[in-house]
Amino acid sequence: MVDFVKRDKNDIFNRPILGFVFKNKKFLLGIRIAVALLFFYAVFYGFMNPAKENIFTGAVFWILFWPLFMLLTLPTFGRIFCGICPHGFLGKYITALGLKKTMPKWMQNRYIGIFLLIVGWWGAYYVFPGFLTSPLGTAGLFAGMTAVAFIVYYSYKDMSYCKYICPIGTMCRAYDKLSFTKLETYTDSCRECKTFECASSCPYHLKPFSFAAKNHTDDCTLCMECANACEAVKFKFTKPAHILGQKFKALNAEVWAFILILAAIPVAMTFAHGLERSTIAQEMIWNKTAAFFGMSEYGVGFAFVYAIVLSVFFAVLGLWLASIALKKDFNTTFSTLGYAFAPLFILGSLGHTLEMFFVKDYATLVKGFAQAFGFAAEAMPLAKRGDAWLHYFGFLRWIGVIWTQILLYKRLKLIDSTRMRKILGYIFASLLVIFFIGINIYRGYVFKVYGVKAADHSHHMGGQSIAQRPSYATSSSQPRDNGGEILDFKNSIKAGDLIYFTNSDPKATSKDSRTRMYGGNPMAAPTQKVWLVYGENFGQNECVGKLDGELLLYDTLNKEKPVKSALQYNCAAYSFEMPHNGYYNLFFNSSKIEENTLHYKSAKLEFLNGSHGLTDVYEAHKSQPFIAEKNRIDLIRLRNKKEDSFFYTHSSGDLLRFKALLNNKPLANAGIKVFINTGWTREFKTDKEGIVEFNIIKDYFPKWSEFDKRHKEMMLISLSYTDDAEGVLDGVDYNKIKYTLTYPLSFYPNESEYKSYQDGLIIAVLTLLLASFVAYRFRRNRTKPFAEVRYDEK
Amino acid sequence: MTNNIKPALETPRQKQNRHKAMEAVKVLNAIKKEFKEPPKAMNYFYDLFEKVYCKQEALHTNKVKIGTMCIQIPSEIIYALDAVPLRLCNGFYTDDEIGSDLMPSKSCPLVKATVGHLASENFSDKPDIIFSPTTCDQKTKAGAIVQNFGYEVIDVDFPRTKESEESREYWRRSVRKFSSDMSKNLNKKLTKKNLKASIQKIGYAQTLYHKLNDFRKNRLVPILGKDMFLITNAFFFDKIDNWIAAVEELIEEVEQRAANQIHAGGKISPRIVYTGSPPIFPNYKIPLIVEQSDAIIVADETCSSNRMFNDRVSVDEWFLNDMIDSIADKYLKGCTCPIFTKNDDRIRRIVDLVRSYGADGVVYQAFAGCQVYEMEQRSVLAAMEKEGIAILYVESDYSPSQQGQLTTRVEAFVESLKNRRRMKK
Amino acid sequence: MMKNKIKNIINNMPLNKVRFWIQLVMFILFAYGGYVFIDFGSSIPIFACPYNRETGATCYFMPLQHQLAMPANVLFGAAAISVFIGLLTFIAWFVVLNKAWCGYACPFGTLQDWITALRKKLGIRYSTYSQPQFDKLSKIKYIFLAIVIMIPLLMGIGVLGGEWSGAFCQICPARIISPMFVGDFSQWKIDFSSVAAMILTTIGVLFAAVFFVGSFIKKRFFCFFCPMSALHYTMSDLSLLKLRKDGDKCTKCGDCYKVCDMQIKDIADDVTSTNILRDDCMFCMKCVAACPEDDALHVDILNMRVFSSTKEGFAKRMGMSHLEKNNDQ
Repeated sequence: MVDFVKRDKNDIFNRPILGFVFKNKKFLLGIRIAVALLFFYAVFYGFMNPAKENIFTGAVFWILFWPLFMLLTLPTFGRIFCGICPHGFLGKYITALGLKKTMPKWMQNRYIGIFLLIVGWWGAYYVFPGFLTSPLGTAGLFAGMTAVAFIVYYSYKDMSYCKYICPIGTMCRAYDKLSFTKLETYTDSCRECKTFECASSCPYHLKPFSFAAKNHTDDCTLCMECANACEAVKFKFTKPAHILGQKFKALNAEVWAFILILAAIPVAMTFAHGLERSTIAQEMIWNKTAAFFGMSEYGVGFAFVYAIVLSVFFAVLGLWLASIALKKDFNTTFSTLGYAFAPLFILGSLGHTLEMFFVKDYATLVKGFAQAFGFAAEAMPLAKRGDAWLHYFGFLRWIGVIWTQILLYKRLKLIDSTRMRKILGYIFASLLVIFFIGINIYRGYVFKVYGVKAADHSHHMGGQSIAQRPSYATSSSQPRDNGGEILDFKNSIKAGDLIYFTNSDPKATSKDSRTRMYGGNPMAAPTQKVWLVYGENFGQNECVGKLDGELLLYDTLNKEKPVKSALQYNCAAYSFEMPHNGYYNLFFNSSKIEENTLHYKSAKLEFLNGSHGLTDVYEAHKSQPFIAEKNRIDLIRLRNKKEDSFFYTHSSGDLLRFKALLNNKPLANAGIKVFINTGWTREFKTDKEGIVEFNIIKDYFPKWSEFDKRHKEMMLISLSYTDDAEGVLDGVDYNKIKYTLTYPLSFYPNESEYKSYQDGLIIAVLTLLLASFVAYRFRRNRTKPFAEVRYDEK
Repeated sequence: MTNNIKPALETPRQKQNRHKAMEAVKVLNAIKKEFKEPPKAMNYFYDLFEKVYCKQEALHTNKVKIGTMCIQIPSEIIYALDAVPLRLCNGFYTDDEIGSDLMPSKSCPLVKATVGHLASENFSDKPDIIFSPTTCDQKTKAGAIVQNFGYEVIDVDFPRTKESEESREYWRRSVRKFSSDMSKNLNKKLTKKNLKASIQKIGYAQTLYHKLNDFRKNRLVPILGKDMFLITNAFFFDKIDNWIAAVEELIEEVEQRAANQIHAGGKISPRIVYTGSPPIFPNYKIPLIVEQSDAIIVADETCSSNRMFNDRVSVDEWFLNDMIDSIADKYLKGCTCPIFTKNDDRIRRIVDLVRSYGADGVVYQAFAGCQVYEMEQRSVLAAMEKEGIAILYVESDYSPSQQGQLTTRVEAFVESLKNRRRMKK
Repeated sequence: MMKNKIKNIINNMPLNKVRFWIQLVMFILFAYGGYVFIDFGSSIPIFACPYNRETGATCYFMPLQHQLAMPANVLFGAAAISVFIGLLTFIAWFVVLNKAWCGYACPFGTLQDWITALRKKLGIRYSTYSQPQFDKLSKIKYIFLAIVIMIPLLMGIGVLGGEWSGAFCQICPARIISPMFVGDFSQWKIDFSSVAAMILTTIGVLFAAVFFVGSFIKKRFFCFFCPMSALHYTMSDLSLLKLRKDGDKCTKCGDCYKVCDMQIKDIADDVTSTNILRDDCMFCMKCVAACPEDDALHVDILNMRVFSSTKEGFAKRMGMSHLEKNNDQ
């Protein structure tokens, strides 16, 4: 026993307030009693009020104790939660009264605690969400744990429960190493000690005087009994994760705790609570697996399994490869480098916890206490979801990643190997970190690209994904029968019909018909063939044989050109030569009076003859929009800036801009309707300048076996405008003119919809690893035996 | 003074040494005195041989000595491990006679002399370990005989075909095993740096040999074959650094001689390419007869000389793994020993030597009892005939008794070559 | 005298260093030439991949595949002229340098040499194929050449659809790797637009990944499978640059074989052929540099020896022309 020592500057016991908090016996006892009372009251309250209205029980356990207090203290002050844990507090007295047997060997296994934490708690949590966190579930769980704890405390000596059975015991012991505090003794003073009060006062029978030399604190729970027994005990500030920078006796269970907790919490959360919220949740492998086994409702459970399997796989593979690279046995590498994974989980989760605390947990906590202790409190959340400053907590995750990499570097220093081997080992050992970063990036990517599901709380049922393709409009309505007759245009079309040009043969059976013909002579100009079709809806391709309207063609130089027409299977086809590259404009205008309204119908086709031979030079002036002055109504597409060649195709998601013109003047407030052959339609109005702009819809989600980037989608834009003008046409009066103009367009899916960079990279990385492994094994085992001579024994 | 009454009795070892010294002195004197004045730098070699074979002085005192039974043991690896290779191939008639008691009388004199030498345990430098490559039958068996004398003999498997990829791989494994055996025995690790240095050192020695040899291509040959044999022979046992220094000096002198148009031979001395069983000191019987008959040996194709120096090791990446493979290739693929199944390479080598050294004829010596050289004689003779190259085949052993008959044959051959030369003029 | 001096300088040059600089210049030219408007056209006999937008010239396989994919009636009509002109241009480039394009100019080959250099730095030895492996694997490049030629032709006659366009480019690792040098990583992707595209791009990514591992442990890993190498070989007789061997001078010591990146055994063991260029050869001339016999191997242009093996040059390059002074002795 040492009565007095001159305490170091970095000794916490030497600090004014902290010294009191950590050392004062009465204060500590008070805290412990308070925590124990809170604990048991919360359990009791849970049994009393098992209904959902009870927010107190959940708030104590699932907000206050875990994660807030634990996550805040573990990487900072260390294992102080254990110091005030009601189990440990009462356990000390129970052990003193108890049988003090030695725990059987099979129970002296730290993996029991880890197993209980990972499978017993987290596994169950993912499989049966909601139940374990309900007030009754929570109360039951902790009542059960308390019973087990007390039985074990009663039976066995040395607080064995904390070491082996407590689900968070090993975990706390492991993460403790990240803290910036350390309990040890003033070794100079200890040297003369013969009484060892510190050791005899320790409920765990540890030897605090050996902590300094050992460079870690064993199972110390910072109960501070030793500090009260002897003055030579110090609780000092160190650099964060000071212990991990140096050698100490490693415990594989701790490394497994790091890996499994990382898997069970952030990774599984990213899967089950992150990606599961995305619109493509059904595409995720765990949901597919669940569906495969016919257990779709347990998708989240499978997500947990995948999280564990993948994390363990990457951790073990990485460390194993590192062990090969470093030429050390696996166990040494595992226990040395594995400790570097410590910050990966805790900082990421801390960020999340803090964010949640400000967003809602604070309010819940206050309300819960108000509920339980019957006082009135109106707590508002400290922050709103989406507040900018909350995002800074997200950086904690990346600090964790960086810290991990720094620790890895420090841990590698402890291994004796060559520089080059260490560099390789570093890269391999980082595999788990890379995986962790990867899923985080992937989650961000999925949310950005596919979006978050609308908040439907039945999220385990998967909901409606957007991967369903709307049915074709054509299939819903029967085509009009023209009875094989040659119909003329004016008589067959109705006022409401759309007429438009198409370059696919309406009568053709094959989908893929080339309408551009080369002919026998490659030097001849290509000819484009188009058909004029009409129908109530877009997609109903009715054709007519006889044309009675005005047909105008302007070539790339805006000169009027003739159009040839021919009759095929009672359908009139129009063809024109395209000697140059650039835009050809084809117009069809017809007018007809019905019910005192003049229906002026116009169909426009802006056709791009683009090729990319050596002589096909792109001339910028040709891409200027052309206004056909003869036409009464026109819709001009304003070209994109990125449209810098005649080899341009529209793709989904592109912004389209049009300008509507009536009698060559901008047409404001005209209706624009967009049709797509998948059934999607949308209406717009032109603005003052007659301009309308909209994005082509992204709805391209067929089965991947049907994926085809050349899959062309048709789009029709119709412009309609009614003008109150009176007049006479062909002797019939009208008092209204209804202008309509159609503009067909085709587009292709956006590249990003069928090109998967992640898949490419994943395959590349896996191949790289596999090939390296094969090459390595092959070379390692290479004895080059001569090829075996095989005989045919028949 | 008082003890002079009783004459000092010679022990058997002293007697052997005296006999060997007599043999050596006789040959050395012939080499030194019976020809035009040799280059002064040759004195180093004359002294060296005198020291080792007449005075029985030890050269290597504080290094492990590795005895090699044949040319195939890679000396690069031995030097890299800081040991000294000593080639045990022997040319002494005295030892040959001892060996005759231990081996069939019709065996190869070289093998018999080697075995005899080891049996007599009469060394200036005694090998600590002996590596015996399984090259020809007699050497292979000799390894086992020698082992019975109490030496530590380690066999190194050597394939007898060299074209196939299998034998190449087989030999590479043997060399790898050899290097690990060596490491184990010497308790030393082969390092990249040392092996590279030793490859380059031996490569440099080979480069010097090539440089020296290039002078023999000249019309006026500045150095005689008997001296060249002595130089290459010295490489069997000399300290490599001394050898290199001596040859560097010699090259300088020979260069001077070439510049001064000094010719070691006569006016119309025919130029001879020497091939067949290796002349090993002091068995320079045939080379001496050839050069005493006024011919000049301008090149040779024997394992005591050209074959030891000709092929150099090339390495692409200086890793132990690749260096060892390269070394293995040098000792197998480039080798023209007749133990291999067929030997077009040897014929091509002889033809190439005749062409590039402007030789008039080839002397093919085979030791009586050296079956492979005797057997290959026919194919070589046929090939030379096809190429129009004059060739003399002589069979000899280590005994000094055949001198007269051999001299007559060689002189006649040389005379016929001289006649050809005269006719050409 | 002057001529001999120049000859000596060339024969004694440190080939590896010279080659490194030539390769570096060529790499910059072909990988970044586009930045300075260099364009040697589209018939270059190397893997200068057009997917790298800044390439200084374009691999011949790109236009070849496009040309051959024309409808059969067009291809065998007037368009045949353009195919023919492309081929002639290709030959015109090729005829001067022969396969030295591979050993000295191909950016993809250079990249492999750099990976090899990295491996050397790390102190890891290379791997080799056994002879049976070699014999089997060396046929793969002809399969690739068949893909280059046959698939476009099948497209032309309508057996395969447009999604097979540029099929070899889709599986070629150069497509994926070359653009990376101008900071474009967008080729590391799987294209799900059609089953063909998916399969081809997946194979491409696999190959690209294997490329890195392979070329790390095996010298010039990909060249062994390169269809360009196969195409070169069919035309190498036309070339002016020749790799020749004088079998009489060869001692079959295997030094050349030992340093050969492509493990061509004939270079050491064949003493009857004069023209020793084999289909796997990439004309790096390392064998010539590693040959310790005077004039046994030599490189000729129009029967003029430009570079030949010498004893002196060998000794210089292997560090055997002088004695390294050891400090520890």
